[in-house]
Amino acid sequence: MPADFARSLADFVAMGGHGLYVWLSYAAALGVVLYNVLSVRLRERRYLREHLDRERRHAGAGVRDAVHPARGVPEP
Amino acid sequence: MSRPPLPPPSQTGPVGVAGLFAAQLGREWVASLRTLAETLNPLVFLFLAVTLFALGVGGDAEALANQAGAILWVLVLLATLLTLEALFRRDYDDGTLEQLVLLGKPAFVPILAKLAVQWALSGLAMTVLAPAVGMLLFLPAEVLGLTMLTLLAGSPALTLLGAVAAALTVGLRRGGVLLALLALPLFVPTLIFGAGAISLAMAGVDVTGQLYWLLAISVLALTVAPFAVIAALRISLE
Amino acid sequence: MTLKELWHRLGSPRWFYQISGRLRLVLGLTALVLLVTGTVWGIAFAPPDYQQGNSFRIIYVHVPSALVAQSAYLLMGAAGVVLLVWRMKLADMVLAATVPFGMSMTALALFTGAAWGKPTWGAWWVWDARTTSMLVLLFLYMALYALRQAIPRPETAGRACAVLAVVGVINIPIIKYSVDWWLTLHQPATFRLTAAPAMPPEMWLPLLVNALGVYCFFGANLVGRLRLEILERERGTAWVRERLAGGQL
Repeated sequence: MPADFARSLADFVAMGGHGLYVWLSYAAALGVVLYNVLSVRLRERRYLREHLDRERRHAGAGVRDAVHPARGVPEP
Repeated sequence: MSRPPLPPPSQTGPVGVAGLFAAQLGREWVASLRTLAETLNPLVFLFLAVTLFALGVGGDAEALANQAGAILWVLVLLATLLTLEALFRRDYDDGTLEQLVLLGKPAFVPILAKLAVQWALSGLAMTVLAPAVGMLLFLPAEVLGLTMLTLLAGSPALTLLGAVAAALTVGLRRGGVLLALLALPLFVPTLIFGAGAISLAMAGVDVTGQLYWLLAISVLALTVAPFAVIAALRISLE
Repeated sequence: MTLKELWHRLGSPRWFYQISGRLRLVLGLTALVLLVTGTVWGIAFAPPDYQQGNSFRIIYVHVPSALVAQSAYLLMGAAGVVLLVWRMKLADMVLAATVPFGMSMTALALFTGAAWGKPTWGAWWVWDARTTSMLVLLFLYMALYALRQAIPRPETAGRACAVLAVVGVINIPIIKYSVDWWLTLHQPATFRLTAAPAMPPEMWLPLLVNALGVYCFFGANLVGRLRLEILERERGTAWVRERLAGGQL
């Protein structure tokens, strides 16, 4: 810690009386970062789950290389 | 309601660019006069909204006069917005738009004619009415002429940029609020220079620069917007 | 690979998916390192401002988010041109993927601007030139978001958004100039936040680190969203099924 924050953690948190504004800003930044990371992660997980469900259904029906109903013939 | 059909959208046989422009101009003009009430509604709205402002402020001449430029320009923006929803609607519904944009012929010319008529009945009409609106807002008589000039220079940009937003939303069933959301941010510079020029002029400052800015924005809109309108209409007609 | 080949390959979502996994990882890790470094440095080790004290530390969030929000809009304008002229699928995906990121960063820049304004100007909101420009930018982002939501067909929505993004990008410099001019009209002498005379290196270096970090984060996030868009649009095709056979993306 540099000179101004050397004395205590409380000084660091207080930010010379501007703690509320500084920490609010950093919390908002963390929130925005998390929103962007998590929204992608959650969509990825949902996609994968749906994909695996579909694959399992295909395998169960014994049509392993079935053509997807909405897409038609798969790309070569 | 039975009405005689409108003149055909394009003549057969060889027609020059000027001929095409004139034909479309005439067609639009006739069509606008036919729906006169619809055409005049935004102008009535302008006066109605000014009245509401005056009532809200309590008729205090000084308070109104101080903000007259801003009030006038904001209301002109909103009134222009009201004219935009109908801009392509009828032609979209009856299939004329498809002919204009998709069938051969340079679409640029008839679209420009359409926008010219649209501007004449909104921007130009509001410019002519500006002194009356200005007096209701106790705008000093010596800046009334300048107020008209700012509207004359700035309103083409409103019609042109707004037409892009109208073209993008014409295919949508509830396009009204979306149209406002699309168009209003694009109106910001025109509002700033228009209202700013009036308030500066009231303080006795020379505002030639601001008028040139309004003109420049309108010229830029004239060079870019028609192409964007055509592209947007093609997309909306897909 | 020549530039022309690269251009043609960019038109192939499958190719992009195959090369982008590692790119995303590298960008993401770089972003993590840079953002942690810059933030810890800025919040704990940079000296306080001689006038504003510690509220000045908001700069390390505010400026990078504002920068990346504006860059993201410019990128969308470029993607819009590419989509309208060459009809490249990837450009459409860039347009769709950038909006949520750009919108959240614009909102962050506005919020931190307000949180900085309160101790500095004594008010949460001041119609300062930059703040106002950012607010208009937020509206431009919202318009793009709403337009895409309103149009049911994805291809139509993408190209409509492209037109709006291009018109918006042409407007941005005019909006900025007009707002600057408007500021000088209404507030002749405003205290400027970022134009501190000769900021010492220990103050601006963390800012630089965080700015680079947020750009890397943008890159990683954009690539991540693009990969998802690709998977969703190519759902059920042979290469996607083969690729996901191991149970991983």
